This record gives sequence, structure tokens and C-alpha cells, in this order.
Amino acid sequence: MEQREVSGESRGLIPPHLTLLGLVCAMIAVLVSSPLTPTGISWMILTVLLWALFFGTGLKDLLVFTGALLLLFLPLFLITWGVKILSLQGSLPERLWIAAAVPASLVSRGLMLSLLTVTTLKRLSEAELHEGLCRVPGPPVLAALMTGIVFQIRSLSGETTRMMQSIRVRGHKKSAFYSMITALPTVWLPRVLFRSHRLSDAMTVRGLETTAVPFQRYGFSLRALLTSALFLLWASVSVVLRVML
Amino acid sequence: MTTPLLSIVNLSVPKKGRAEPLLDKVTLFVEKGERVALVGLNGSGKTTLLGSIAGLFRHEGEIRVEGELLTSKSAATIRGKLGYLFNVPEDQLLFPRVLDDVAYGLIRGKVPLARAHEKALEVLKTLGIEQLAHCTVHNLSHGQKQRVALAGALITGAPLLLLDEPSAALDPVAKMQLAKVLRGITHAGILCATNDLEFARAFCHRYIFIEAGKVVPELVDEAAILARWGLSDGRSPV
Repeated sequence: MEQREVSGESRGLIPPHLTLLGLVCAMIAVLVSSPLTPTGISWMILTVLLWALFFGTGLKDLLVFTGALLLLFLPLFLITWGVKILSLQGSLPERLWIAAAVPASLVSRGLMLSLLTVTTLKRLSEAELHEGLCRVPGPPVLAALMTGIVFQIRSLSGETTRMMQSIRVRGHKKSAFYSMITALPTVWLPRVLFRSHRLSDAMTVRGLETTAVPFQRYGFSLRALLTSALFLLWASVSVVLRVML
Repeated sequence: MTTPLLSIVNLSVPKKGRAEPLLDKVTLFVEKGERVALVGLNGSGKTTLLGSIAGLFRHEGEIRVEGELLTSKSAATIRGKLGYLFNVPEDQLLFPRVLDDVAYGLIRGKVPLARAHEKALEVLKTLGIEQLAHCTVHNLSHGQKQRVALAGALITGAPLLLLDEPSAALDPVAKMQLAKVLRGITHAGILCATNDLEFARAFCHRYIFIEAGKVVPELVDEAAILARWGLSDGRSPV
């Protein structure tokens, strides 16, 4: 029996290129909404929730992603907030409140955009992403480049996982995460550098550096057009909401 | 006299900061349709030699493929004549889907996509892995990646195949299947770096022995190589 992990349209509700269009529209919805107004923040959260629901992302996964991303964004928030507080004048409570506006805006947008991206990439396999990018009208070399970046990140994360497993198996007493952090400069970095070197050799031999790969284009179906219209409508409503309210 | 497919004369590859070179005045020839095992222990210079043929290392001496001298200008043309299997197959898989990766060599040569995919499926079938065509590369086992990478090297019908440890990490059955596939390649010359003599014996016409960056011309048969490694009488060399 044919082993088929990538099935494009048959696997999900929409083909990969429309997933990417939807992602762009959802991102627009998040970017144009103001995180400092109740309507804006509600719209942003609704967009993310609907997007997650659309992909069947479980609540637990969503909470884990949110927690991890909050941890990631927390230092940015604190630093920006601190700098802003120092640059303002007035009473401390007033400064604390006013200074929070910019970093809160940055972090909430960053968090929502990251959630959109993570939920999307969790659903799409690399091959689907590749297919999706190739089917979006645009220069093929851009699709090849973006796919290449994601592909190599995945390779690197595989390499990191193997390294963490090896650290665990070889009986490092600290937690695998802590061990990984401490091993970054001595183990991980040399591995990555050697891998980059080998990869660059392979790209040279296979002639990738000079070639833009042509990919097959597909026509739009009625379903695809309707789905696209829905995504575009969502983005448009977001813009209208921002202008009207 | 016909031009050899691959001709290497006095090839030396210096190593930065060390007096002794990685390769030292290596001379060897591979004829069209010939399958040659480049045998040596780890660190003997096999990978460097294959990389040099692909123009990946600065070298002294002369490398010619189908009579064309390897220079910085001709390197791209020479690479077009090579099918190269790296010793870490994962490094050379550049596309997420198996079929796209295998077809890439043809797509680069402006073969229409549909035809390239068709041909890729044929090659995958030859290697017995057509069921992997639509799989994501990262989800494959090492042996499967090895065969996918080999398919990518075979697809263009390049006149010279450079294989770096193709049998590494393959199970005994897969290894012998691979040897059978390589035996069936008649259009190309093969230079296969390996230290697996059983595998080499299964498909190669002759051996070239390399040690510490030098070809040892007198060691041309398995018994002599095993004796050199201290393995001829089945006892441990240490």
C-alpha cells in the first residue's frame, strides 16, 4: 500500500495555499486591531480562537503555547516597560500605567501573531507548507527560500532533540533543558556549524545556489474562491472595525 | 587510447596548520562503466578525495572528468556530470517531500515538472522505495534517507557516481539490494568510498586502497587489504 503522509486537500478542510492566505488575513486582523481597546483585544482573541478552532487545536495545546509564548515575551515586555517608565515624568502610578501601553501593545500583537503561526505550522507538514507556498502566486525562488528556512529549522530542532536525548541517556544529572542550555556553546553550536558546512557543500554539489526551482501552478476551484473570500472578508471587517470604533 | 572517465594525477589537499596533507599525491583512474571501491579506514582521506572531485576543497594536482579539467571555472560543469551521495544523507536532502527532492536534479536541468516526477517515481521504484514518494523527508529512517539521497544522485543519469559510505547504517538485506542496484548501473562509472569489504565485493570491479591520504597501489585485492588491517587470519588486530 502506498505510504502517503502528505495529502494536501484530502487531509484538511482547505488546501495548503489557502491556509497560508487565511493566515495572512488573520494576521492582518490582529495587526489592525487595537489591543488597547476592549473591542480591539476581543477581536484579536476571537480571531485567534476561531483560527485555532478551525484547525482543531485543543484547548490544552493552546494554553501550553500561550504559556510558552508569554514566557518568551515577558523579558521584552519588562525591558520595554522599564525603559519607558524611566523616560516619563509624573507620579509613579501614572507612569506605570502610561508606560505599559506600548509594551502591552507590542506583546499582545506578538503573542497573537505567534499563536496564529504556531497553530498553523502545527497543522501543516513541511511538504504541505512547501506545496502551499508554491501554489501562492509569486516568485518560485521565494517559495523555495521560505520552505528551505522552515525545513532547516526542523532539521535543527531534530538535531537538538537528539542532543537532548543523548544528554539524558548519558546520565547528565541536571534537567535536559538546563543541560541543553549549558551545552549550547560546546556541543550544539559546533554541531550546527559542521552541519551548515556540510549542507552548504551539498547545496553546491546539487546546484541549489543558482537555481530557482519551477513548480506546478494550480487553478482556483469554486470552494477555494469561497474560502479565500471568507478570509478576505474577515480581514476587511477587522479594518472596518478599526476605522469605525 | 580512450579518455578515462575520471583521471586524478598527483592530487594533494593541504590541511590548514598542519604539515601533512589530507591527500598526498594521489593518482587514480576510473574508466567508463567501471565500479571501483575506494577502501580505507576512517580518516584515511576517502571523503576528502570524493569532495575534491566535486571541487569542494582547494587542491593541487589534476582532476579531470571526461577529460575536462577541474578548475574554479569548470567546477559547476563538472558537478553536472556527477551523482554524489554524501556520507550523512540528511544533509543533502534539501526538499521536504521525497518526490520533489529526488526530482530536483532533473528540474534543475529544465525537465518539465510532470516528467521529472514520473522519472523520480521510476528511480524510487528501482530502489524499492516508491512507497516513500509522498513522505516527508524528516520522518524517514536513516536507511530510507540514504536510499532517497541515492535516488537523487541517480536520477540525472550522471556519467560518474561518487558514493560516500552508501552501505553505512543499512541492514544486511538493504545493503545487498543496494549492491544489486549498483551492479545494474552500466551507464556510469562509480567510485565508492567504503570500508565495508563485503559490500564492495558484491558490486565493485576492483579496489583502490587509501591510507593516511595516500593510495597504496600494491594493495588491490581483499586478502592484501585485510592483511594490512591485521584481519587476514580472523583474529583481532589489537
